[in-house]
Amino acid sequence: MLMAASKTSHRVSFTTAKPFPYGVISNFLPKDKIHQLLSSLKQEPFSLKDSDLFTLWQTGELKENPAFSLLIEKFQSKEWKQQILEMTGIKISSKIYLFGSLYRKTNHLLPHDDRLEGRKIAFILFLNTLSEKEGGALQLFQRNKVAKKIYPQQGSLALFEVSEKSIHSIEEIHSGERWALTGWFYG
Amino acid sequence: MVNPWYVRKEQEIKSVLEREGFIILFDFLEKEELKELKRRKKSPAKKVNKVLQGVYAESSFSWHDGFLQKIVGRRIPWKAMEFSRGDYLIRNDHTSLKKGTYALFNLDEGDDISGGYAVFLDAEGNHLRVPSTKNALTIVKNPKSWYVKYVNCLSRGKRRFLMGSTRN
Repeated sequence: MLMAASKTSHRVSFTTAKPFPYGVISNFLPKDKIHQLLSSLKQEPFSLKDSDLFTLWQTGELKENPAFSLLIEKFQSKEWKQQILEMTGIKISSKIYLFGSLYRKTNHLLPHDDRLEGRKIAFILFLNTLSEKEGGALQLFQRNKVAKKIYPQQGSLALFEVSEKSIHSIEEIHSGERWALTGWFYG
Repeated sequence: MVNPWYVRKEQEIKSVLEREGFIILFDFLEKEELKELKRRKKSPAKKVNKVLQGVYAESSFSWHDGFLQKIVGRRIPWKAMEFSRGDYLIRNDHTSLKKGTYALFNLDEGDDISGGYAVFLDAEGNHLRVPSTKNALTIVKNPKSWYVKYVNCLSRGKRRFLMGSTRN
């Protein structure tokens, strides 16, 4: 797990993480910024997405939305790209895709690998905290079994490398709501 | 025994299936026959756990009904499928269906809010959501794929289907 350790240990823990390369940066943004993002997200229109793979609420792309420009600027900064390179060994470009997601009771996202042309790293910025009882964990799979559960912690940024191994899901919400900003960094 | 009303309407059922590509027959079996079928289905099922395809239980099931054979034109081999809380079947290359006629019989009553309902899709992506009604038989001609929606935490029991198919 990625905490306030050295860059070298970040990279080691990301690249050697099981079941596939992932990391979590706690307190990615100060609390007031997270509250601001959550409040902005709650103003956005969400639409219900329902298919064989998921039931969840989603916004459109937020990249051009001024309410999220601080986050976008951070993600597109040279410093962030360098940090990602040092952390993951993966070179990312300025291209990102960002959207808001909201999971309510019974909402879920079944296992899939996220692979689509150009996607290098998937990220989730958790805007609220959920307990094990409430559900909503990011679940990482290995050989048809959940190998790691990451529960939403307000202000944490979860990242994982997109590959044929990156099979993951979002656990069903049993109570409460799960608010997050989600997307991908591209190569 | 099949609901005698359907037996009398055999020709009409065949022509609706031909014209519309699907038909749903509610109250398909008589009470005693349904009871017997459910009793026979109590045999243990084998769990399938392929997270990118589906998580459910299935077992072979022998059910021969002359009426259905007349409707479809061939004998239908069946399998029993069980979906408990957390189970699902996703659409992908593995759940693409070969050209043929497919039949799905609901052994249990369900409610759509808890998931566990089946959906057939045609080549144009049109959805046919199978009603979650006990004792309903859905027959579909040439669906392209199908899935069973994730059974969520509101579910109170298993959803059991008999799934039959026959190639054209």
